[in-house]
Amino acid sequence: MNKLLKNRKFQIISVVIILLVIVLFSADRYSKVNIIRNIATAPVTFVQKGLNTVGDWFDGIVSGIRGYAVVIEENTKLRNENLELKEKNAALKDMKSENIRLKDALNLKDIFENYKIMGANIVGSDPGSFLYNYRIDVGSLDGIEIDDPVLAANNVLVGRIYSIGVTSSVVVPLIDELNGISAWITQEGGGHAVVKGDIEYKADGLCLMDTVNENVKLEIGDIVETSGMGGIYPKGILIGEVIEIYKGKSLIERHAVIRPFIDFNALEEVYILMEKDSGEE
Amino acid sequence: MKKLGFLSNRYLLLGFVILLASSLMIIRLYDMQIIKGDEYFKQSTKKITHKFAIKAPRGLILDRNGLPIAYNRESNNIYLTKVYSSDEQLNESLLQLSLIFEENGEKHLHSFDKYVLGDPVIFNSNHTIEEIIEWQMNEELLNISEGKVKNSAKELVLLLRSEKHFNVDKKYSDEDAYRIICMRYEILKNRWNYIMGGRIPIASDVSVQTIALISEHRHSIQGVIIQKKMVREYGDVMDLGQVLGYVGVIPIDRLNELVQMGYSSNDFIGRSGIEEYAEDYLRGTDGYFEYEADQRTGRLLEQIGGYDEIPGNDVTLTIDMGLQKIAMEALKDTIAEIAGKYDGEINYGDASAGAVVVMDVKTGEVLAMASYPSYDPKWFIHDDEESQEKRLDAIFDDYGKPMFNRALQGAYTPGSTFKPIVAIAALESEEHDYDAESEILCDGHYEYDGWDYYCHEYVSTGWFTHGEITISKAIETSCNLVFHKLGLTIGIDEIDKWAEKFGFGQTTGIDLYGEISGKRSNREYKYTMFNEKWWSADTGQTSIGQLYNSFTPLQLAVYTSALANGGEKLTPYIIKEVISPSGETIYKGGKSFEKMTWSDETYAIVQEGMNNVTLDGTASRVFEDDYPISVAGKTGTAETGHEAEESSNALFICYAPVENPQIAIVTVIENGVWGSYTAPVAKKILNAYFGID
Repeated sequence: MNKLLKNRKFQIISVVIILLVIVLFSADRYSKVNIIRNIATAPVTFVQKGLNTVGDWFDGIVSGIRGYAVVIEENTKLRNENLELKEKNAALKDMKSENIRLKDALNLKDIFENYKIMGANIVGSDPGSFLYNYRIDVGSLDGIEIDDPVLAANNVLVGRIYSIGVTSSVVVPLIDELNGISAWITQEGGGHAVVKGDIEYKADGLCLMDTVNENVKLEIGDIVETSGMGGIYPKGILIGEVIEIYKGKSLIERHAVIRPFIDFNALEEVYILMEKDSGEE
Repeated sequence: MKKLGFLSNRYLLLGFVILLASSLMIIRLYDMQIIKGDEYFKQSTKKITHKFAIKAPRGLILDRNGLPIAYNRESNNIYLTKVYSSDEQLNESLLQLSLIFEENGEKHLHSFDKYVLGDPVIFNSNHTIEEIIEWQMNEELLNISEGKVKNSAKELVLLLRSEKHFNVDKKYSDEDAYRIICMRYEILKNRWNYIMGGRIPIASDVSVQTIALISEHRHSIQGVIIQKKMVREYGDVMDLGQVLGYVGVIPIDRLNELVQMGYSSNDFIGRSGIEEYAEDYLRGTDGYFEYEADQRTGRLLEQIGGYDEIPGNDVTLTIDMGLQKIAMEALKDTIAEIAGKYDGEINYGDASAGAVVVMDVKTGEVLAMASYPSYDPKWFIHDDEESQEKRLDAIFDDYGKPMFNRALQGAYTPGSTFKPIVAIAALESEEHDYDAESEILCDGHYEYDGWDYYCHEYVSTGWFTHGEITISKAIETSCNLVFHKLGLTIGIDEIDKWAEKFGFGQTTGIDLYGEISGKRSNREYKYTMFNEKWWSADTGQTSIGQLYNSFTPLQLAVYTSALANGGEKLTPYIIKEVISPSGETIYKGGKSFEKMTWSDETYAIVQEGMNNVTLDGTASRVFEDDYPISVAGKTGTAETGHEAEESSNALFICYAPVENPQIAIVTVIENGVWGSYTAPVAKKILNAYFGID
């Protein structure tokens, strides 16, 4: 037996078989062997993160595997041109963006005193998942929990944590059709309403609002933020603005189309609000 | 080693592994795309039909100036609807929903506890064990076979947790399992509706907080619909309580009939007052919708059938809320004032209730109708503890009877307010030629048919008599003796003829339910009720408004209006118009009357007498000399027959201005001691109506 275990070929075959089993099991997204998925995504996350950092050096270059070839090519070319200068530049830029990021986090800290704020990088869209889910580089090791609110700088709502891995997690954006937000229209004549993702509108980066309280005037241009009453999002995170108003199926139902303030295309860094009592404090 | 020769070639091995892996992937892809592709595609776009009703908002009720008295407010209601989910997901959603309801103190449908209570888990003692067993075996509900029927609630709950029933996972605590079963039971009760894509109402009029929590947990609470509905709300309407009425659930005994008329069992209908009388106008037509919906989220995709709801019609009343308020306040204050004048001899301090009717003498529009004590219709539509308590107090207050509209359900002996009828009967009698100059002697005492009649002032002073006075003066002084004489001379049939013409003993036909006809004191009544002959003494008593006479304040208002307008017995009305949602007038209340004729002289005599009542007579102390408008009035003090222990009822009728009568006012105060005590109520109303400071 020992001999067999020491047999190199047997070892290889065993590893291959184990890997195959893992492949087969994790092919099903809803498989219960999430731990495998977590372990498997940990190194991937690392790679994705690395690629993203490279991407940061060159403005406008898309991160991820698809951009890898381009990155390599341009990287080589540019290195040849002025390696030293570019590196310096990149370092400076990195420091600057890090600086902004820390500053933003500091601002958010002032707004959300009762929360721990964790910064994170978007390392790609969740492979195989819904089109609009994002993978970020923090996970259960960082104390992230499902349903933690996710913000962008300037206190703009991105979404919430949908699932967590050990070192990465998936953010579901507010425009996802299963999402709902207890919202507040801040203008005079404002009040409570519900913002919902919608399968049709999300393709355009929009979402809907309904269950508008009777006292709300509701006008185009109204600013909508979180109400803090729904149990997930704290009060005062900016959601978006009303761009269209229409009557619902019943004469008394009012609906509105909301354009979120968040620009999903330009999203690079996010902040996760973690409740302090659930953290190590 | 040699046996596994081909494995020694690493490249070959690697190639083999890659080949194997790609084959597996290709097989899997083939399976997903080709074999099950269609199925997956359908599943991803699978639709479910949702059917639901949208309740039409009830029409508004407005006062004559357009002030909304009864209106609607939005309420958020929670419904359960079928989405594609496993028992596990459904149970978890229902548990979360149930916990949110509890956390926020929302009342939700909870009919399981009619049979099984949750804390502790025991059978509800409202049912016998036989009933509980029968309930368990009900095929439409739990459908438990005879052999499996449980004698203990705990065992039943355990059974219901099983896969065969609600499939409640073992991970749930007993409390949570009970919560889930309660919710599942509501679905079970309505399962046909649920399966057909209907909406099961589970909680109504929930708070914004509850909406916030449910919406924000939308990803984990599935199959929950928040739907807005208009519900009734009332303004400051305590003063109009009995007239306005309220809405409520359909009474059990009318359910079948109303369901056939298109109502559903949880609808609200008008239960009293205008809300009840104008139900058919106020009620809208509910909308019905059939939508294709996404089976995962329940999102409505495309309308495939149905029709829109049509709101009810708006009803405008003849009531002037400003005047109504003044009438009620004046009534209330005057009652308190009278009760405060307690003397223990005539005034027992027991004045506590009354009614006021203000009517337009030209049209029959009821401008105000107050009945004190009153109730607030809000107590019947709100469900907070205070409202519930007040509601029960109002229903069970046998003494004050706030639910009772005294203006049209209370019958009061008219006393001296009846005297103008006797005067008209005498003046219009063809057999006798009474006129403005006719003088009748009041010498304090008069004997007729062996009965003694007295002037009440002679009785109270021991010496005072009115002497020879005209009919007009008799009205002014309210001399009983003169009216005894007049009545006895012309006879009961002449009096009754006129009482009938004025509408006594019949309902007025007002557009409100519950009106009573009152009683006229006549031969027929006495014979029917007591099988007794009519005596002259009965005529004598009737002539001063006593004996069997008992009228409603509303009848007295019709009568007073007729005295004012010269003989038009108007049908009083309270619905001015009904306007459809599109702005069309679909009903218009209007003047309708029966004309009785009497001479201008008769009119003038009665008017002069009544005018003098407020100038020099029984009500002159209330209306000061320089009162800017001329008022024709008549006080009435009606013996209740219990004068040894309670004060007499007090009445005052009047109309104004004398030269061109516009409104008639009738005030009745139970145990109000003296008719003149109630005249201040009328004066305050006249002040308000005519803008007198």
